[in-house]
Formats: sequence, C-alpha cells, structure tokens
Amino acid sequence: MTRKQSVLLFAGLCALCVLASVVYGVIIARKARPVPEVAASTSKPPAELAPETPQAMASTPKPPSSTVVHAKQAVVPAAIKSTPPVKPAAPLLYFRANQLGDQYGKLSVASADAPDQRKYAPDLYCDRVYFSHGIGICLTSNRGVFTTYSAVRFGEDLKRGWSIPLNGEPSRTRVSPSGRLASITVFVSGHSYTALNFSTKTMILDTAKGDILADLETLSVSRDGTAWQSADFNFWGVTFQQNENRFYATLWSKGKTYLVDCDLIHRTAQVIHEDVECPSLSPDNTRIAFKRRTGSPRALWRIYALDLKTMVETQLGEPRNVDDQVEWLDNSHILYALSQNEKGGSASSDIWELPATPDGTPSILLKGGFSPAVVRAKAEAQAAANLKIGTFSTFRN
Amino acid sequence: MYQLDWIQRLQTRSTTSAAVGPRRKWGLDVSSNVWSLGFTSLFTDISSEMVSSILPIYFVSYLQFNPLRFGILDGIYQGAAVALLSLAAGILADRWRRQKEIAVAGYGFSAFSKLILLLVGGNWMLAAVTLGLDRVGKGVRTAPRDAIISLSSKRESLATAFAVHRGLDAGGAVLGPLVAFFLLRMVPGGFPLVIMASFCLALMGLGLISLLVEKPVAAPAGREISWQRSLALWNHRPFRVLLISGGLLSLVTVSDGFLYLSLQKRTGVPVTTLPLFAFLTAGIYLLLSVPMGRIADRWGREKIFLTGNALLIIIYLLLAMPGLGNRAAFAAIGFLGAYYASTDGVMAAMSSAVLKPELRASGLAILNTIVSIFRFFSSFLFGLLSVTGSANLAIIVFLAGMAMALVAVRWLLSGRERT
Repeated sequence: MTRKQSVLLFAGLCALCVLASVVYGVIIARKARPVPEVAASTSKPPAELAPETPQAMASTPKPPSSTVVHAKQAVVPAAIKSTPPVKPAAPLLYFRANQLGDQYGKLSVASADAPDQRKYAPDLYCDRVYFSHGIGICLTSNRGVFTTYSAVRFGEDLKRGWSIPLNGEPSRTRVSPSGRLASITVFVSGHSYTALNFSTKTMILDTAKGDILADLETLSVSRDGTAWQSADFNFWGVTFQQNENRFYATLWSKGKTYLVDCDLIHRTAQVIHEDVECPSLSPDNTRIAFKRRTGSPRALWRIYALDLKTMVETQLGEPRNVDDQVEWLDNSHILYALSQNEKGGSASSDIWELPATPDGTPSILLKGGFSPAVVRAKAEAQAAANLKIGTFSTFRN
Repeated sequence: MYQLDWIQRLQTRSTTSAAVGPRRKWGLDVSSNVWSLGFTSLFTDISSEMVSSILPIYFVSYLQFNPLRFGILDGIYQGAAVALLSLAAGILADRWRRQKEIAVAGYGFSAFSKLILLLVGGNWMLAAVTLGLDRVGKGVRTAPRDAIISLSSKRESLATAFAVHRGLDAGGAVLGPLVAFFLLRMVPGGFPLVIMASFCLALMGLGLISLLVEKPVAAPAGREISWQRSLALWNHRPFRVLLISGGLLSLVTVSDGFLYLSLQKRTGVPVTTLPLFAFLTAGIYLLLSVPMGRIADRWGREKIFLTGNALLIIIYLLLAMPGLGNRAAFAAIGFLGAYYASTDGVMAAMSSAVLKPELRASGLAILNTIVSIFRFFSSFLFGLLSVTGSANLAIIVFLAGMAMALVAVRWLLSGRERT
C-alpha cells in the first residue's frame, strides 16, 4: 500500500466515524423527542388538576419563559372555571420528570389521581426533589465542562429561591413536616478524583436561608447505651419525625448499616436497629419503610417495613430491586421509582405504588417520574393557610 | 556542562536510527511518524478523557446507579498487574521486532473498551471492567510507541520529538472534557452519543497508527533479544544511572491526586473542582511542552530535567507554606504543568539516547515500570504521613526528600559523563 493510499484510507475512516457519530446523534435526539401521551397532557386544559392546586395557581407568577406560559395557559382558565372541591383532595406529587423528551429532568407537579396532568418548572432541573409545607428542595447538577452541583429551594410556584453549592453528586433530600429544616445527602469522591470510591455526606439545613445547621458526622453516636466512634462513619437517607428536631437516618460502618434516631438540639444519634438503609417514616410516625441489601444480585435491595412499637419487620410485596428512599403516599401505601428497563440502564423511570403489606402488588402510579414527594391534603391546607399570611409566599434570591 | 559528546558520537555511529518521512514540518525538526503518533495519542486521549469526564454523572444521574456500589472498582485502577504487563509488552516488542504491532494492540484495547461501554452501558459491572481494559491498553502501548518515536527521530532532536508527542497527548486531556461538554449541549441526555463519539475517536487513533505510522527501520539482525538480555540493561551504566534517578525522583514526587487534594483543602474550593485542576495542568503542559523540548535539545536535557524536578520544590512550598494566599496556591498548577513539560518527554529522550535501538522498547518499559512502582510507594508513603501526621507534614517531608534526591541525581548524572 502506498502512502497516498494509506492517507486516503485514513481519511475515509475518519469520514465514516464522523458520519456514524452524527447519525447516532440524530437518532438519539429523535428518540429524546417528547413521548406523545405526556406531551398531550400538557397542552390539554386539565380541569381536574385545578381543584387540587389552588394555592399553586394563586401564587404562580407570570414569567416570560415559553414552557411556563405553556403550563399556565393550560392551568389558569381552568382555575377560574373550576368549582371548589367536594371530595377530599387527592395528594399532590412533586417529582422529577423522568421520561426522555423536552421536559426530561424538570421539576414537575401533578395530582396523584390525575398523574398525567403535570405542571413543569420553567427552569429547574432536579436530580432529587422533596417538598413539604410549601418548601421544596431540588438537588440539581449544573452541567458544564466540569459539572457542579447545587441545592435550590423552590416554592409552590416552582420558582427558584436560594441556591447553595454542593460538594458532590446529589443522593437524597428531605424537608421536615413544617418546612423549616431540610436534609441533603451527597456522594463525595474519596481521596482521589480518579478513583471511583465514594463516601456520603449528609447535612441538615435551615430552609430559610440555606444555612447548614449540622453535618451528621458531628453527632455523638451511641449504641446500646455507650458512646461509639469510628472514622469510617457514613450517614445518609434522613427522614424527619413530626417533632422535627428528631429524625431517623442510616449509619454505615464497617460494611454494616444501622438505623439511628437523631436529635438535632442535643446533637445525638442513637442506634436503634440494624441492617436498615434509607428509612422513610410513615405520616402517622408508626412505621418505617426502608431498603435492605439482600444477597441476590437480581434484586440487590428489597423493601421492608419496620413497626416502631413492636420492632417487627415485614418484607413488602415488591420482588424487584428497589434502590430508592421510598416515600409514603398515605399511611398504608408507599411510592418509589423503578427504571423503565428492568435490568437498569434506562434513563427513564416510573413511579410505582405499593400497599405496605407483605402481599401487596405494585402498580404504576405515574409514568416517567423519579424522586416523588407527596403533599397530603391536610398539610396542603396548612400550607395554603401559611401562604395567606405570607410566610412562605416570597423567596429572595 | 552535561554534554554527552562521546557517548553521542559513539552511538550515532553504531545506530541506524534513520528518521522516517519528510522533515521540518511547522518549523520543527520532527518526522512525520512522530506527528502521526502524536495525533494518534491526541485522538485516543480525547476519547478516554471525554468518557472519564462524564462517567460519574453518567452513572449517578443518568443511570441512577448507587455509587456506593463502586467501591470494588478501586483495585482495578492501579495495580502491579498493569505494570508487569507493560514491562512484558516492551520486552516482547523488541524480541519480536514488532514495536508497531504491540503499540497498535495497546490502542486497540482502548478502542475496544469504548465499544464494550457503548454496548453494555447499563451493566455497571462490565462498565467497570472496561475502565480496567483502557488502563491495560495504556500500559501496553506506552513503551513500544515511545520506542518508535525515538527510532524515527534524529538523536539531536529527540527531546523535541517527544515534546511534540507529549504536547498533543496533553491536548487530548484538554479537548476531551470540552468535546463531551459540547456534545451534551447539542443533544441533552446524549450520554450514549458521547460514548459513541469516544469510540469513533479511538477508532480514528487506531486507524492513524496502523495506516500512517511506518515501522521504524529494523535494527541490524544481531543476537536474538532474550528476556535476560533485556533485563540485563541494568548493567548498562548510563542507563542504570537513569533508572536510579527516575526511581529516586518518583519516590519523592507527590502524586497529582494528592497535590490537587491539598490544593483543594487549602483554598476551600468545592471537591468538584478537582477535575478542573487536572484540566488546567494539561493545558499548561500542552503550551510548554514543545518549547521545553527544544530548549532541552539545545541546552542539554539533563539541565532541563533537573530544573523541571526543582519546580516540584516550588510547588510543595506554595502548598505547604502558611500565609500564602489562594492565588499563590493556584500558581502551583502552572508549575505542575511546567514540571511535566520539562521532565516527562525529556526523560524519555535521555533514556532513548543511551539505549541501543534494538533494546529501546525494553529499556523504556523497564524505566516506566520502575517509575510506576516507586510512584506507588510514594503515594503509599504520602497517604501514611497524611494520616499519621498531617498533609502539610507529608508535603514538607517530600520537599526535603526532593531536595536531597535532586542533589543525588545531579551527582549521578554528572558522574555518568566522567566515566
């Protein structure tokens, strides 16, 4: 082969490679176009959504962004026409829109009984979302040449409030029942950025300004009544109690996980159970749903519920792998996200509902969602009341 | 001062290191083979860096894997296995007189690993294996490729040739994250596209080396190259001096990861800035590589090599001295780039100059292996000192060590010409 032929051959190879990449890119971009059903639901005036979100409508301002105009056009006329709700309002779901498409990754809100009628945040993309009592926390990644991460506060209007930088990839977030406190867990790379060994960092924040009140690693841990210390402690997965000075979390040490009962004022964490990951406290504060590592590679994590009075555990009726901090829909049903491709590896996921019983059957509650946060009717009414006196209605940037 | 006249004259006569292809491209006395290999590395490095820049977020945010599962990945990254494999690859390249084929195989591993990642993206276990495969490819190709670079260059411009290659290599580290960023800009959520593009770039690199790099002119068929003969290079005094110097300096060199971590702790910037440090270092390396290589060829490679290592002392001072502001700390990154520009390619040039053509891949592989083993000890030592004492203490110990090592290496290198 002469040199000229080699050069030509190489040029051909380059052209082929570039062509292949471009074609592949176009295919991916096509695939990422909105899925018809979801797109349709945003353009149709959702009369059913209106009664459930009076306060959301009331506080929705008029930003010029095209997407929010879209949502607003759909929503505001309905709000005017709608009659006050007769039946008890269904809970609201705040979540990450997680179906590849135009709205992919956006913060979204929908009613649990009309999950396809969604309102999208104009400019908030969240990896994790939580919402309680009028206060929302969105953990977001700011894609740049180098990705940075931040936590953003938002309100019922889905608009940005304060924002604080995070030290690693978002993992979990929760807001306390009154909305005053929030917890954030991030994955932090260990000693070197090339090694993929992660540890977790969990903080408790004051939602008013985003001040960090505590890093869980600074709590004094006790086990069986005696102090316990270890350099390898890792905390994650906070769930707040009704008395929000108290919360449960996962503590990890030497390959084992523990359930700890924490006290923010006294800065203590007490081990109360073993082998519990990502606890989630039921609304009536009687049960904790959690994930537990099983030996099986097919379902690495299974969901359990722990009765806090009797300390009796029940394995719930979801046979698949659930790697999520579950959320309670009400006192007898839980929610969690599962990838649309059962083996994992799909960028899209659905939110599933499961009765918190050993023989419950899971069903899809909301297609194309991730990281659900439930706002139940009672709390919602309270939030609306607060809104009237203006406690949470305005956010400073 | 450090002229190697007699060695050079002696070896110019005994070698047939003919340069291949047209010369004096872009005002540099560098053969087309070196340019081709440089661009091969550029493509391959863009390919690797674009994937590694998106990997954490791809796994965590896109595939929603739990990173705590990645713990077991640790060991795959570094390892004696890779070091030994690259040693074997270098020696076999000489033994079979197939430097090019083995280098091609090394680049092939990397391209193949991207293909696997593309096909099994969803399976984190296999995705982890591909990272290891990429690493193996890098180990296998380095020494044979450097041998081709040196065999395709004139003795008096060896450092320039390596500088061109290393500069393009650093260019890959700069361009990789940028390419990934712009692809993701164009196609949101287009992680598979980034991996596809990465595979294509790796394939282009592979095509470039297989099609356009000419095999270096074969050394005269002398004695067969045996394992013993390759390893007996240790007895070759001018080379042994370089091996000892390389090992000694590696032992007191703080690894980049630890330097960046100290810098991050000192300045208080978020941990997520660490990749930016590596990016800036590569940028400075890219800018300074060729000038440093030319200066090294003109003024003496040993001088530039020693100066480059002396820069590490400045870096350690900037990081360990209390009371210096953040700006001074960030200047350490500039010096780190300059350190690489004046040592990495220059060391390869110095070694090539004292190695017989038929043993060049073996020699470079032995040097690389010794350097990586001592770097491993250095990291271990630094980690131990940081845990038992403090990071600052560790830096000061390494500073003192580097000062002593520099004196010793200077003495060794000057002794080399006296014999």
